[in-house]
Amino acid sequence: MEVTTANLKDRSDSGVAAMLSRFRNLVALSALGKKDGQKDDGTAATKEVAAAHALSMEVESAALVTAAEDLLRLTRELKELWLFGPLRGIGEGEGEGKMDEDSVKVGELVEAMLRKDAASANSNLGS
Amino acid sequence: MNSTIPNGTPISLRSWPSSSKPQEQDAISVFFERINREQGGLRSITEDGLRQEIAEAEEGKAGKQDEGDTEEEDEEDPLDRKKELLMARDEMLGHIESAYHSASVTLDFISLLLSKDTPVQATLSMSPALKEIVPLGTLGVDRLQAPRIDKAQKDDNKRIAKGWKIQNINKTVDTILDSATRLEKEIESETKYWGEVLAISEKGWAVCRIPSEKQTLGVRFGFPEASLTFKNQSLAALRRNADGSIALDQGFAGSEPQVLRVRVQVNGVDTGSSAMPNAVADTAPVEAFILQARNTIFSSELWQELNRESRILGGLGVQAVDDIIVLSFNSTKKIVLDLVPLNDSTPLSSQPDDRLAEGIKLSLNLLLSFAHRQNHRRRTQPPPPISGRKRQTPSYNLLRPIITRLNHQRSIDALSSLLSDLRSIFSSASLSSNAEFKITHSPPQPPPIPNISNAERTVLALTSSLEATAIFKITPTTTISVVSQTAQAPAPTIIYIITLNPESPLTVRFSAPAQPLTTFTAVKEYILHATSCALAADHTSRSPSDNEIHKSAPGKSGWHLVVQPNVLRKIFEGGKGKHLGFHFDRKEGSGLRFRVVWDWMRFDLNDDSNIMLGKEEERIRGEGVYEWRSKRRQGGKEWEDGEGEVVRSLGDVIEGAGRWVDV
Repeated sequence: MEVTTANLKDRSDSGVAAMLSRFRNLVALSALGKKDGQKDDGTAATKEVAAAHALSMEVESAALVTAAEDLLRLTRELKELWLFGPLRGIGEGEGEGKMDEDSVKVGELVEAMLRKDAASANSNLGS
Repeated sequence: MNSTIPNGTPISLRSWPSSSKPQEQDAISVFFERINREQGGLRSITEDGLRQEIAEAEEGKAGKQDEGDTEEEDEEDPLDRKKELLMARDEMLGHIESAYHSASVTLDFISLLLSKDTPVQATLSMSPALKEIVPLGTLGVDRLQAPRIDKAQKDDNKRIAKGWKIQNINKTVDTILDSATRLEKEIESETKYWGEVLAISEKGWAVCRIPSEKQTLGVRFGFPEASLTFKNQSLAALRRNADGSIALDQGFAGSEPQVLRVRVQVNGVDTGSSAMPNAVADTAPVEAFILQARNTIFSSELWQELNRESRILGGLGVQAVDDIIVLSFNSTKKIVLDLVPLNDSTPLSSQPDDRLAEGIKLSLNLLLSFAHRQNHRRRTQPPPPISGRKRQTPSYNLLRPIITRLNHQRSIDALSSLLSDLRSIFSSASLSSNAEFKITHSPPQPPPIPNISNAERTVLALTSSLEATAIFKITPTTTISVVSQTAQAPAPTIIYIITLNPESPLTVRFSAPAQPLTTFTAVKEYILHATSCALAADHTSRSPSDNEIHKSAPGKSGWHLVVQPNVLRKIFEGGKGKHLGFHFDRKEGSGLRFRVVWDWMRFDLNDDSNIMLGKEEERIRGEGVYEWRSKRRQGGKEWEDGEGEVVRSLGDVIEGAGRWVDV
């Protein structure tokens, strides 16, 4: 599955939409099914209907949690992409940096010190 | 000739693989396969290990019967769970199947029922099989009597429904709340984890995904140009703890931190040691651990490359013994390298040669990084043409540049001490107006590699193609110049190129060696002899015509050159002649010595008879020796014992030598 901007946007949108729709379903199911203006005959609030609603509510709540986890997964993928994926410019962090100038100075210092040591400490090194 | 196999097809001469069982069991390749599979390779197998394993297996069998049930239960438990899982899965599938079947049967029944009243809708929900078997509208439903649900039951139903609904809502709320708290905690720890990972990444470490576990992040702290064994160890996993903080997990390659230690020893006693950092405490942030891991892998790679290089440097005074490498620094000092684990060791007191040890360790680190850079360069250049031989990367130049530099320093010192001794002798012989010497260091020329960076140029400048020139002016007509050059391949050597200025009389009589010299002793001998010859040539008289000098002529005149370049001859009237010889030599402990010897010629020029030489001659009048010595700074002693007179100049000595004395 290609990782493109459109894909990621789709996934986030669908995740949000899924959560909202599941929640709406839950709320709808939790109602007693009484419509305004109808005869209060209680035919809508039977045990069978209640049982069916109970099962549906379980399904919807599980789906809600899954949708939330899906969004979480999406954010993690985004973080990974940001850190070391194609979002990073090419060649960042390479190059010599300050080492170049420092090295020249250090080289000169070392050379001078070695020559001074050689000139002054003639007897130390022995032969 | 008919042949079924066309020419040119390659023929394999291997026999068919035999399939008979007993032979298969014994074939050695099968053995190897089994060993690799079961024991994990031949490396870890020893005879003792195998015997131990056999003994353990026998013990195990005996012990098994004692332990019996508990063991079997334990062993069965995992098996049971697997079986349980599989059984449960099968059961679930069976249940789902039956549920599906019953649901579809019910659906068909209901739709058949409804097909009488609402055929359109019913046909939509009927399965095609049923449509074929039973025609539509064959079942009918009718109300027999009005529903006997009275109001009380309706109320009851309502209440039951309400109660059930409330229960379900509560249950749903509980589940949702639970998962919400769980997700919140998860998000918190994830945020913390990612915060730390970001901090690590911003410090410059490369974060990547671990190939074996796709969901764990890891950090690469190794060096991309290191050799393969070290590259495999250079990845560490960043695992998330319970509260979200990061722990570094180095896997099986993680070992205790190590560092290279450089010590300077004189006769077995340590006189200096490089600094050793402390091990990182457990409470330190992750970056400290990563840094320590990187230092460890750098040090272990450095150690391995040092060992590899020391194997080919035996001729240069490098020894690899046990776990240490010994390198001789000068006649008294030795440098000892070893790899030590970082414990919380007590810090050593500072010793006089600490700076030297630290300097050597730093330069070794720099040289390893330079070798990495060369690897990178070699990798990015187009590869050499393919040949049958396998190319191996040459061992890195780690100790060789240091040895080269030391040799260079030593040779410059030797040259300057020799020349300054000569100059002091000259001054004591009152010749100082002529003699001077100068040592210059020419700037190093790095080889023309394209795109070389300044850092690499510096390293090359400090270690390779070092050059120094010593110019020694003996007399106004003669100048010797000695160029000392270092070379690194195939072994660190120094060559000396000696040149004379062209108008010197020495070019005819004792010219500079055409090939560059390789030892300092040869150079020293050349310089000493050349100096004596130059001095001799300087004191010849300018008149070549007279062969015989009057006896009353001044001592300095009349000397002329002979075949031996450092001897002068003077012929007096009557055939007697004198020789004057100049010698330089160096004695251990007493420095440089300049001798002038004059004696009568042992044979007459006018006499053709051969005279036996070599007998012990007593000292005759008119012969003698005079010496000048270079003053060595030995505790303030200026004059040698027994020498209390004023030092004479060379001119006076020659004057004295050339005077005619009646014998």
